[in-house]
Amino acid sequence: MENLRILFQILAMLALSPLLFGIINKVKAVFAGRQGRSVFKLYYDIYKLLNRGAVYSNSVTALFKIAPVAILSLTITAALIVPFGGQKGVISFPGDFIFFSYILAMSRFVLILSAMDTASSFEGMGASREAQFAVFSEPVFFMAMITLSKITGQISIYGIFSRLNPSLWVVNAPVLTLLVFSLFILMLCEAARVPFDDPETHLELTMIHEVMILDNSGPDLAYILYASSIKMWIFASFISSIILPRHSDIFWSDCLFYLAGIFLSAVAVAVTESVMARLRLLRVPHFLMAAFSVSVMAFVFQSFKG
Amino acid sequence: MMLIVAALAIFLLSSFFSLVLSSGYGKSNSFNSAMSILGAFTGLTGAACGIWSGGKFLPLTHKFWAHYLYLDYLSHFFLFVVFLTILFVSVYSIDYLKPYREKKSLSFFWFNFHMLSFSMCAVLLSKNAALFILFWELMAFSSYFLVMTDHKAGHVRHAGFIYLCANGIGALFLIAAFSFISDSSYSFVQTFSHSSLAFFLALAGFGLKAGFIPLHVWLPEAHPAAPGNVSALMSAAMIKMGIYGIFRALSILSPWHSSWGWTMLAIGGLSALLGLIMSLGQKEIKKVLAYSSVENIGIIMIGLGLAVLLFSLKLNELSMAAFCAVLFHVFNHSLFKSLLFMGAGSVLHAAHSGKMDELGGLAGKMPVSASAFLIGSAAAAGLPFLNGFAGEFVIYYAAFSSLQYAETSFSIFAILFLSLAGALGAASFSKMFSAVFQGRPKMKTDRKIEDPGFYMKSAMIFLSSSCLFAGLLPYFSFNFLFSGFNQGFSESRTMLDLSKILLLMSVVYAFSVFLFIILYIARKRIFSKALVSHSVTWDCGYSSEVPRAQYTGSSFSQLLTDFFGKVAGRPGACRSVNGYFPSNFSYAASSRAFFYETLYLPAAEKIKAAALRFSFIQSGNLRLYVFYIFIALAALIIWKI
Repeated sequence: MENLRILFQILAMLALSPLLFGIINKVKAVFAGRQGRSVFKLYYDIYKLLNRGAVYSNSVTALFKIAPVAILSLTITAALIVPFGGQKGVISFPGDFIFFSYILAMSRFVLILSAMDTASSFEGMGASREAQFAVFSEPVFFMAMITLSKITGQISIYGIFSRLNPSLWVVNAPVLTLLVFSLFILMLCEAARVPFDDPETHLELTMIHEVMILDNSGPDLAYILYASSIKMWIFASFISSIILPRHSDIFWSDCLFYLAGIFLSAVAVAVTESVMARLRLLRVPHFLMAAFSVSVMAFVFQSFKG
Repeated sequence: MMLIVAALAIFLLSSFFSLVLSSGYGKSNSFNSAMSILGAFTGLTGAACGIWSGGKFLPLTHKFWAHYLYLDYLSHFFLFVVFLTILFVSVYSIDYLKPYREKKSLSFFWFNFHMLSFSMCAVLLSKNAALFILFWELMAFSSYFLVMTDHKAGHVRHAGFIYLCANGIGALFLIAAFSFISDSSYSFVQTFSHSSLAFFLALAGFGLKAGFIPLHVWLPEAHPAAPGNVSALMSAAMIKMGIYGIFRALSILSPWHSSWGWTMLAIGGLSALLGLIMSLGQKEIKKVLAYSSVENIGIIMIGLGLAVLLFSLKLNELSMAAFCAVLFHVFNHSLFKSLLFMGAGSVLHAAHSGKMDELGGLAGKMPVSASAFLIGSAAAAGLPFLNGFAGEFVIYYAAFSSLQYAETSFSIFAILFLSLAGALGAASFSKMFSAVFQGRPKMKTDRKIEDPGFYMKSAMIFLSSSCLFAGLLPYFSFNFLFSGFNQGFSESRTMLDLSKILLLMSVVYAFSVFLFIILYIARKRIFSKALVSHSVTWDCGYSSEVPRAQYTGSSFSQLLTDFFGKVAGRPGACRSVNGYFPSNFSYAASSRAFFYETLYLPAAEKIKAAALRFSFIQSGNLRLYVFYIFIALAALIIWKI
């Protein structure tokens, strides 16, 4: 039974993650009074790209060609550490969130190098921005983890989320609210959404994530698109596990709550994108530092409570 | 133990040979390298046995030896690292020194090389303050001469001078420190009850060798000046002598104070972050690598500080774990840093330039060096799958585990320093790798650029596979290195937990590689049916490609260097653009050595000015000097009475 649940968990993540971007686009369209594209647009895109060939630049090396494969496999590996609806993640050990964060850092490193491989100035700009954002976003994640681990006394992701329950919310409401806020900002940054990056933009100079994959085509592009939707899923599931913590022992109801949390965060992303414009590039570090301060504040509240 | 003594004898003998037979075998690269490899290999076997048995496997327990030599785990561990580095560097040197052979006799170089190897090992063995200082100075001078190999260039002499000053000041601190921790026969024992003073003196003295901020100024000067193999040896092995010294001081001194831990944590955090921030603004490969050494020493100091603080809270197991993590990082750093310096050496060898903004696109021409450098860079950035991550993980683990206890706020600082250093390291190394090896060459050159010779390549291949092996299977290297660390700790729960985690990590790596292979095959099957073509990079339809329009290393790191301001680099001097069709436009930015320029240079000027005021004492008049001697003697006699 345990194994079946784990299998279900992996399959659900792999199958549903592209839906997140579909939901975001649909909600944004509703906000703008448009009909919008189908919720399943990303599935069609990935299917279409998987049946195409590819065009490679003359200046790329083997690194560029294996990068998309590496990024997707690393992202899936990272996703396996994250628990699903109160279930144990496929992989779980003390200190696994350190490992998780560094696996994602590795995939970012590969993406940056693959962008630099093309000798394109546009991609260089994107890579440079991505490297800069990481410097400010990494401490946000670790600060949030420090606070969570302090609240629950656990040092694995599963341990932390299995200790989070509705009664903890009663005691720690301000701390957890601040944490959700800073993790939400982190998600916007990691998934390259407004106000950090605008996936709708069509000018190379202003892109960040999109510009780094300008020269990827066909199955390579499909892999990268899929990987970024899984990444979004991972960060959304952090938020979901905090706002709707495991409340019962019934697997299906837990799952339902978990999925509801994930799709709710997608809706929240869409609302954010509809009501605000992206930040000036030079303001981004300040915004991330604000997120960091918020998570420090959460920690301080936590320490002074007891 | 016999093996280690034999290795020392081999080093001493070959230094003698290279000087005496300076016209024959003494200048021959292959002879000297072979001797060095032989010595290193012999010693490596001995040190490995010593590590395994925790320094207990000792036929030489004669009182005489035990009185003068340290034969414990700590010495064996560092000996292992030193011998391993010497082994790879000697293999590398066979080809690397070939171009030098036409210019000058290499016998003096090899004499110093063997002397440096000998003195490093001798320092690790000496249990006597006088012997320690003697070998320490021998190490300083032999490495000074190695740095000065290209002494005809002015900047090399400048760097050598700074290095000499750092060594001299460091030795002064050490002599002062040793006066508190040695008895009348110069054996190491604590003879002074105020342990903090002795510790901070030792920290300053050893810190000048290890090179943490603000005592790091000689590193970014000496490394670019020295030949590639010498930088590899110095950065991977010699600066670790400073870390060994701090370990040794901690083992002699008691009781420990938590202020030591806080100091080391602060120094470590500062070095890790500023080291990387300053590396981002640099334009030369070897300077970046030197600053990355500062960063890694910083990580080591963070671990040491954490270990001391955990110990002061009586969390002994976690403290031991942090000590292990420190040693683990010392070992891992010696592997990837020698690899990186070797890679930088091959680039210099082939392209005759180490300036990142002039290079580019070398990956296609020198695939072996590029892959080795990529592996080294990823390891240095502390990324998983490579060995740099394992040591950092153990530090993180100790810090996070301690969070559930009271008064462990220092762990938070350790974690935040490490996480910031991780992200900055990824930025700095992706910048360096991409600027040197990726894209298109930014400057035209007629020189044929290719991978270096057989021995250089094989040294790099060996080292990169060790980095990969130690990274993919951290369980093995961890258990090998630390099964003899401390009897009580080896069987403790923390150690068992850690080995289990490291083993599980390898399983995850295996799964990830498996996934990679499946996805790769899937894509290959798609491509077998579909059309794959090659074209130019997307350039908005602008047809002529200009390699100079690429993003350079400087432009890649500009966002970060601008953000960190003066510490990272000097703001560019820019001539503004006017009109609709601007014709003249220029922009110049330069890197800087922040601490050297703002702290040490003004201080040196002040000292010089003050010293000049007393220059009348040094008049050059011999009779006056005799008079001084007389006064000094008279003063001594009066003082004694």
